[in-house]
Amino acid sequence: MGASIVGRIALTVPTLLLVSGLVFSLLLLLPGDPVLVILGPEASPEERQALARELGTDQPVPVQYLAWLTRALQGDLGRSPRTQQPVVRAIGERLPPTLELAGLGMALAIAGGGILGLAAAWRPGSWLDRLSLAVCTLGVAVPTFWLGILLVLGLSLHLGLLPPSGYVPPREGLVANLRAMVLPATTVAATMGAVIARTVRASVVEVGGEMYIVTARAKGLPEVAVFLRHVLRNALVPILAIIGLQVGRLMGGMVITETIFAIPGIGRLAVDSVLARDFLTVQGVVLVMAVWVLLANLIVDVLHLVADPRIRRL
Amino acid sequence: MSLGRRVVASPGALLVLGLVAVAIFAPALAPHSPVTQRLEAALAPPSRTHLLGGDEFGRDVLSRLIHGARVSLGVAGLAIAISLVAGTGVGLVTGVRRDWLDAALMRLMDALLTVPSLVLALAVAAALGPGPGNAGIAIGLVYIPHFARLVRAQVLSLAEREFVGAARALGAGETRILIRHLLPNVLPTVVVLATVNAGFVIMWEASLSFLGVGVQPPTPSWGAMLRTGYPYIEHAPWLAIAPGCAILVAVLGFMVLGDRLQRLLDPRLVRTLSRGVA
Repeated sequence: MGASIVGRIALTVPTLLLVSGLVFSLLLLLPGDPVLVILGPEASPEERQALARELGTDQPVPVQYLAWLTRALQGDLGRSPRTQQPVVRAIGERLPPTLELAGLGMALAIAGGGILGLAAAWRPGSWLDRLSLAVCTLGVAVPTFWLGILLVLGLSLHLGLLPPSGYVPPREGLVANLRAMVLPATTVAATMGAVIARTVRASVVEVGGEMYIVTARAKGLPEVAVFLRHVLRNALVPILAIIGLQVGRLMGGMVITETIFAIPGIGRLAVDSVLARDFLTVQGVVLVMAVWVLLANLIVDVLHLVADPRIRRL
Repeated sequence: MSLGRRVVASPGALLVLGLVAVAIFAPALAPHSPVTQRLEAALAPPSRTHLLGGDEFGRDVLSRLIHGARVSLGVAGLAIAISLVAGTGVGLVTGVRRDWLDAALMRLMDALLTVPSLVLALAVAAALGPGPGNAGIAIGLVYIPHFARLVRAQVLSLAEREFVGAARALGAGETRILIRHLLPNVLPTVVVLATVNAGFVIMWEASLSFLGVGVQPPTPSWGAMLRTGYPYIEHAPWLAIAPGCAILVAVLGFMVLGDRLQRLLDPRLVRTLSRGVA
């Protein structure tokens, strides 16, 4: 299994290089001189020269990319002309709220989606199954930002149950922190939970019809043991795959959710930087998010190897 | 019943056709101008004069919603056209060539899929500048890999079929096989994916406009309406409810129509497509 894991990690490297090229080329998309676009027309000639030297805009594009990649590998993603703060530090400061929201949202989506999917799979075709399908279809079709707004409208402004926005760091009170995170985490989890629920339902129903499940039942194994030892274990591979795929969606949802609920995370940083045309920070945030998705996919691949020994032979 | 009638008779098709009709006849259907400000109607609740109320500048919400359909469908059309043409082209070429170009293009598609789509669209839209056209280009770019991967998989499977071998035996060149034999066979799949994705593209345009990098005021757009109406939702909830409902109905319409087309044109692809859009 060790060799398989090393193989998966090796496959990540070329993708990571391509992603870095893609992120770097964002600056090439800027119309006109990137230095002028980044600094704005008010910048002094000295400031322009300094940034041009830093970006190496007088060099050929491949040389610029190599210099940028070398600096990025050393943890230097440049300095924001807007805040004069190193981009890496800005991202580091914004990471904890994002990680907390991502963790809570993912946990909620897996728990909610898992329960809904299992309930639907219990009796395929029943009213519960059809209700689950309707809920999941709505969950996929509802725009994240609208759901967030409706939750604020209903649970905060009308019923006064939860704070409408803002972030309370855990060190200032865990209860206040969790109360502030309920609505954002629910918003982030809704679409992911719907997709997970449909995958759990489809996977459990498919495995439940296999001959080895019939055999396990015929041997007199209790239903709970059949489910836990045979159905769930074999249904887990596609479920893990879909959870891995949801990480990218999670990041997108984070950008919108952090904006609606005024959470100072990297999603909000991305939007603020885009609106302020702070492209060095935008570049940094996109790179960090892409690495995050790559790592999540790698972890899911390794979990696949653990859950399904057949994959190790591929 | 003919295939066309079976498609049109579905609830999804009726919703989408209704949406298209609203977009085409927007000037005739809208009861008021979507941009004229009437401060006496600012934040006015729904009434006979303003069926869905007035916004913060007294503009008629229903009229802006109706005109917003034009923007949403226009951006969706542009984004789908870009991703469909480019993605199908990449999928066809990589499926047939199976050489360094295939490897390079497909790794590029993987890299595009690795960057969270909304973040990539946001960054590209910001680099290109605000506006519906640039939003369409940004979203179209993000959706290229979805088409490319599906078409490539189809071409790889079709390339082993007898009719392709027969065409080759008759002396047909790669380009002729690609255009005359493979393309017509992948088109139904592409049409289904385009329909399902159209709903999501509408949601994305709304997301970009909501974040402030898509359509800019005073042009009516559902996402921008939600953005500007959000600060007033406590006293004027209709500003948030109406555009959200429009987006939800549009997305549902395209999803249901896509599902219908999928079952009619290529039932074998149900699972592949559901993975593609997830």
